[in-house]
Amino acid sequence: MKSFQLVWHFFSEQIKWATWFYGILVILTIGMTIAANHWGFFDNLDTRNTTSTIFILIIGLLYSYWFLDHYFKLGVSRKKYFKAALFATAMLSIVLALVTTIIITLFETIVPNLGFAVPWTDLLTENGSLFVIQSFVDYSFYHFVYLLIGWFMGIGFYRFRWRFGLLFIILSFPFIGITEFLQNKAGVAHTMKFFTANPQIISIGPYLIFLIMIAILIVSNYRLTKDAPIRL
Amino acid sequence: MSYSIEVSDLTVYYKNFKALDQLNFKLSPGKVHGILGRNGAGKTTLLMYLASFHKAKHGTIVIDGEDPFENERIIQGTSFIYEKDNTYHYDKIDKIIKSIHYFRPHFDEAYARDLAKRFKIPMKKSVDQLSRGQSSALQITIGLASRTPLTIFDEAYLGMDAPARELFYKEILLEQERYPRTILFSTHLVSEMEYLFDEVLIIDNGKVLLQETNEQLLEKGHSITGPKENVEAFTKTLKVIHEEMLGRTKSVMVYGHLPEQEQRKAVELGLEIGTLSINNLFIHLTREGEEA
Repeated sequence: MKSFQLVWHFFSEQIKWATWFYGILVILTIGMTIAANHWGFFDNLDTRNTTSTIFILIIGLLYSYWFLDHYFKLGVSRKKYFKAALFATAMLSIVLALVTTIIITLFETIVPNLGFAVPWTDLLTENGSLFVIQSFVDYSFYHFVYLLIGWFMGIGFYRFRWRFGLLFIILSFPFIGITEFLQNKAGVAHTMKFFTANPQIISIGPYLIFLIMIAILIVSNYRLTKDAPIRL
Repeated sequence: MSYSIEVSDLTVYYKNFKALDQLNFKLSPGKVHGILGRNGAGKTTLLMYLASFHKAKHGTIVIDGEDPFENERIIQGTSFIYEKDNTYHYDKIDKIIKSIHYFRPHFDEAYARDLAKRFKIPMKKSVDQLSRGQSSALQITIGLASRTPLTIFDEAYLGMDAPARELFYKEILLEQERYPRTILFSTHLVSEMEYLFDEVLIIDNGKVLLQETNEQLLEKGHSITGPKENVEAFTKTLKVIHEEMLGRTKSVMVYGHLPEQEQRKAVELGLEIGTLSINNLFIHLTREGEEA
């Protein structure tokens, strides 16, 4: 099987799951919007991150237990699988970020026109199109890191079983903590001002940290995958 | 197209337990090899190493002249068929059969569909909805139709009824004639499958107990029956693997070459000489030390 075919196979399988997930999420959000407008609760729904983060993390966890196992048994080497997984991860992160951005933008545009209030504050669309684009980039990074973290935990469990697998969850905490912290732009800027007053460094700093974390996770996942024993 | 296999000093530990102990053997290409052994003898461990599921730490494995671990050509050309847990496999059979050719370049989809029909595998069902026997039949269908140069069946028939197993055995012979490949069979149904084997490798307690061609093995197994004293005198220098008494008549099974001269001598002593099946040899060779 050619590498691009494998990437596409991998990606389309994930997209199939994502379609189900986002379909359900959209229906739930519509339901909650109606409920929030009628009964006045759910005044600040977190539709953007928490739910999709959990979904992304689960997909990442399945990388080894499902995809590595499945593809290896169909004659794909670990190295080829790893490359395909990495490309598919990048593609999925971008596509999911795009879908998330489009869904939120549509919601924030259509819902007020129907006479309803959007049940969350910090509207994505209220700060102009540049902010929408920046949010799309943020979501892409965010998804990518969470997929890599899920992959890291999953390969730890797959390779070393549950006892040492638990250690990989603990090792993931700093990555999750930093990722969550980097989402809070005001908090990041406030912290970075301790070190520098340069506004450019303050604005690109989080992305640099993201990139360093991504590099650490990619190298770790590769080293754990390249000679991983395959389970029966 | 078929792969040869050469294993040298392969030793595998599971923590402190030595699962394989300095295995050395060669398997010739294009043949059906029976890999036999008692429960826990190390068959599945060996097959997993041959299929590159694990990296050999002690000893070497060479398949078709190359180290198979992370070797894309060898991995793509190796199928390992065993009883899989399909609880969470929701794909439809039809979709699976359609997609295999992406991974296995020699996959024959028409043959797979024909086999699936003959095994009565419902194409519209998803894998998790199949019975145990149907699931095994699906794995076998994919294994046969993939036509990989090395095809490993590890107790692949579990749950399949007798007619389905019979069909599987017939297909093995037909396929081997059409597209010869190296086939490894690990099985406990020795009596049912022994006619399929070109060569037999018996593993016992992680070690190679014997490796022979089917013919050599059959030539080396004999039953000798007759009066107790004569049987005992005749078999004094032979390797007796099993013995039974019925009144004054004794019947023994021996393993080893019995020249024609010796056989004539046995007849002169009034002894009856018969051949042993691979199943009988396997049972009694691997029970040495256990016999009452």
